[in-house]
Amino acid sequence: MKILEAQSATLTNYEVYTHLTEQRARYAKKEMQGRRPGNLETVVKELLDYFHEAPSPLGSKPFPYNEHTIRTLFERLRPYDFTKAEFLMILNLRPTKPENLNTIVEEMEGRFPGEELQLEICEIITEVLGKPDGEAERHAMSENAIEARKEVERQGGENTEMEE
Amino acid sequence: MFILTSIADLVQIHPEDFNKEASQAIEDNINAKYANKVIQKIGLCICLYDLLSASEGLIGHGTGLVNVNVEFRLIVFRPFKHEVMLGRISSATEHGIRVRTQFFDQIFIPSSNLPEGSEFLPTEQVFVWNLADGQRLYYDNQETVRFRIEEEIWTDQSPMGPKEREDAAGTVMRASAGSPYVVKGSMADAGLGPCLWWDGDEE
Repeated sequence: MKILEAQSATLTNYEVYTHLTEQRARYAKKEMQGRRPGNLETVVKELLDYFHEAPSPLGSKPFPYNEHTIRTLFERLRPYDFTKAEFLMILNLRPTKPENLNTIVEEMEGRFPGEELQLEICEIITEVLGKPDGEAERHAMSENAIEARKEVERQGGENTEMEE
Repeated sequence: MFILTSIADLVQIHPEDFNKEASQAIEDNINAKYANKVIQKIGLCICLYDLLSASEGLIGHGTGLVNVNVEFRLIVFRPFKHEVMLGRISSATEHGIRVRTQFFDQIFIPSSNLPEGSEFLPTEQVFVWNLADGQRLYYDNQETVRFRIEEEIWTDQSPMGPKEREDAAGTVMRASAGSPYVVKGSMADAGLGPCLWWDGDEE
């Protein structure tokens, strides 16, 4: 094994997601050709689960991305002079409120002073990527947490039984 | 969160895979070797992205293996410094909070990277953030959180040679249980921490 280039490009979550779903579709077609490596199946399933989980934009409906999204958003946000990393995070996390944008953009108050300007940016992001269904997302998040806690308890219960 | 890494490697195709298409056999081989594994200073490999080039298949003496030199690109999980990510709290100790995602669970938020006024409740094994107005916010387990990447720690797990082991024996034995790739994060900023705190609707 020889590393030719440690980082030849960065990918957005959407690009990884499309690659994985396309790969899955391709494999489903050629069933006769045997199984895929187990470690691949594991990581692909876990990653898709992660992408689908609220509040990830990839899990929201209607699906906010298409092949033109990245270009459109890039052009609309050009006047604001975001760095590449910031733009990547905007695409991945879809901040539609100034508070959320603040975590992504460094020194936001200095670079984009005033709430009006910040709301303007959020407005553009909402126009291109859509608005998250806040109610449903919060509901899904609490459901997930409750479900996972139950799961942990169940496992804990089994373990103690075994010890006895 | 994800990058592409170009790698050159030798792929050995076993005779039982000869009924597969060559490109598929190479792809399976690469995925079997790299998927869900950590390469030091590169990151957690996810899967093959594309094949850049492949040589003719060569068969060596004594085996029926077809050897192919390939160059390819892998999708790798490697969040950059200061990237904001989503995850879930899996547990907490007095040293900090452990966060996991479905595919990667080596994320740690040290207690020093929590907002000011946070303290650990030993009886409940959770952290709590005491606000100035007396309100208390809990970092409950399994809560979805937003955090920022601050630091990465690599632990090379490759076995030591006898010489190295002799050198190390007198000093400190290396911890063998460490994971190869650990990410340290921070939640000490407005907007970071459990998503439910921040994502309320205004209208």
